[in-house]
Amino acid sequence: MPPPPSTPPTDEALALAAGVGDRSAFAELVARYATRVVAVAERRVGDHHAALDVAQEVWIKVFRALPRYRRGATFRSWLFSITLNATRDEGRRQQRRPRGDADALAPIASTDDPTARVNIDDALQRVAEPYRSTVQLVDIEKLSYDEAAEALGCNVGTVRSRLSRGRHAFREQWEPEASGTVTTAPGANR
Amino acid sequence: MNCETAESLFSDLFDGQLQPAELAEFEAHIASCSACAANYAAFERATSALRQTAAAGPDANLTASMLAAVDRAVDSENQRSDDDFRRAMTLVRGDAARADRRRRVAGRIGTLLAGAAAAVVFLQLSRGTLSSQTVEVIREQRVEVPVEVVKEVRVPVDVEVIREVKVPVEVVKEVRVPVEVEVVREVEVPRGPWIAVDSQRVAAAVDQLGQRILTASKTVATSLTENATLLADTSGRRVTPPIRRTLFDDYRGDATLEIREEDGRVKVRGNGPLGDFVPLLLTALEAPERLVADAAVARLTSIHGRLAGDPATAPKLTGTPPERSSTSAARWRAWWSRNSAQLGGNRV
Repeated sequence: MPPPPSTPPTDEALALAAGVGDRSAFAELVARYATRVVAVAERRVGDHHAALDVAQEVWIKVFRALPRYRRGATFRSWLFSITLNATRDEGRRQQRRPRGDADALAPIASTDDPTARVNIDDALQRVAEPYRSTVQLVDIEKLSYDEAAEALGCNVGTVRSRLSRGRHAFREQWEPEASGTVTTAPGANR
Repeated sequence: MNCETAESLFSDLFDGQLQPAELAEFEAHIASCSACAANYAAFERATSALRQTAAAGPDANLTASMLAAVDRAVDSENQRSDDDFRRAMTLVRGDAARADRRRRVAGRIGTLLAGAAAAVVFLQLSRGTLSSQTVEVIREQRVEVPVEVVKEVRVPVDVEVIREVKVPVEVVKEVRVPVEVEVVREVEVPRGPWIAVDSQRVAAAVDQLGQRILTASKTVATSLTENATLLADTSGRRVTPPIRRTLFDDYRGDATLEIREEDGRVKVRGNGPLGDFVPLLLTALEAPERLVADAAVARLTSIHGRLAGDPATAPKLTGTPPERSSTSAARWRAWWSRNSAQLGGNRV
């Protein structure tokens, strides 16, 4: 039964319509997720302009792949899966390029004021992959464990364990003076 | 519970995922361990701060910029496709014109032969050589061949009769003999780009069927273009990998178009929502096949009915086709030979 007219169409309904050529449905999907794709990409590649390039590539891929989009997968987990793959490609390209500045991620422990909290983005940027992506998808993009597992291509148990380690690593970066003595996230900090 | 175990439960506790027994044990530990209590408070602060980081909101400029990037990519892709089509159309039309000339000459020869031999009507018109790719659509029909003894045999020049037919002729002034003939239309296409679709013509023909069909026509066009490229790559080896293409998803069932080479001929098979798909398929092919559209529709209707009506009787294929990029003739033939029995009945 079609939803009542006042209910905004779900992402999945829009994706199916866009897959059979509904241009306005595709535009609505882009409107809903354009900034979020850029945000996910930017946290992965660490550069806004590179993230915009990645986002363009993502939407072109999505446009081409929509006719093959199937019911069952949630659209946003499918979209973020494409985004993460695209950032991987971008990461490989960046590795091949000569590096300009030294590593942009200076150690944050050098702050003079031990109580100062570093910016959330900066702290999250210092969490190693794949823990950072997991934290971002679950805590910021609010994906469920199942959706995050689909986007990351792993099982739910792996998502829970990565999330735990990623959150501990984030906490250590964000509020280092409050970190516990027990390290439960070896290797989760960069 | 020790401190390390307690800390490993922070994340699940935060998400409310702990089992009651675990929760009770954790709470008992926290009550007696101030370090873990403080540690969890810090964890909760940090994770709450993370979760309060709002996902980025809509940005109209960014949306417009992304849509423009997609448009540019699609326009560029369409331009390349159109160029491919124009090139292929030129080749096919040139070849079709040559085939027409051969038919006209052969028709005259057939008339002379028939005039010389009164008792036997022998018609063997020019056939495309088996070494070249052909597109064929076949129908069975009964044709009354008017025979005026000794004087003339009238054969419609737009029908090729490829079979030797012996007609008993009584010595009367004129007889009409019902003859069952197989009418085969062949269009020779050259190697390399082997079949052409005028994408504008396809789009115009299906436009009235709505945006969904327009999209599907582009899929057909893309499929044929890709296949043209593929064949061009393999033209030296006489390998034409079969193309199975899904045209419609979630739209009154699946529709597929298959193109493959068999016994030296390129064959096209389709099934799906026929009211929309068959005109599309036929328009996608070159013009002469339109003459047998009725037969093709009937055949496709039958196939579609079986596929859609009873999954148990739908063809079940063995194994998956090799990758499209594969140019191994042996691999393709092995797959088709495994499935030929299932697919043979669906021949269009």
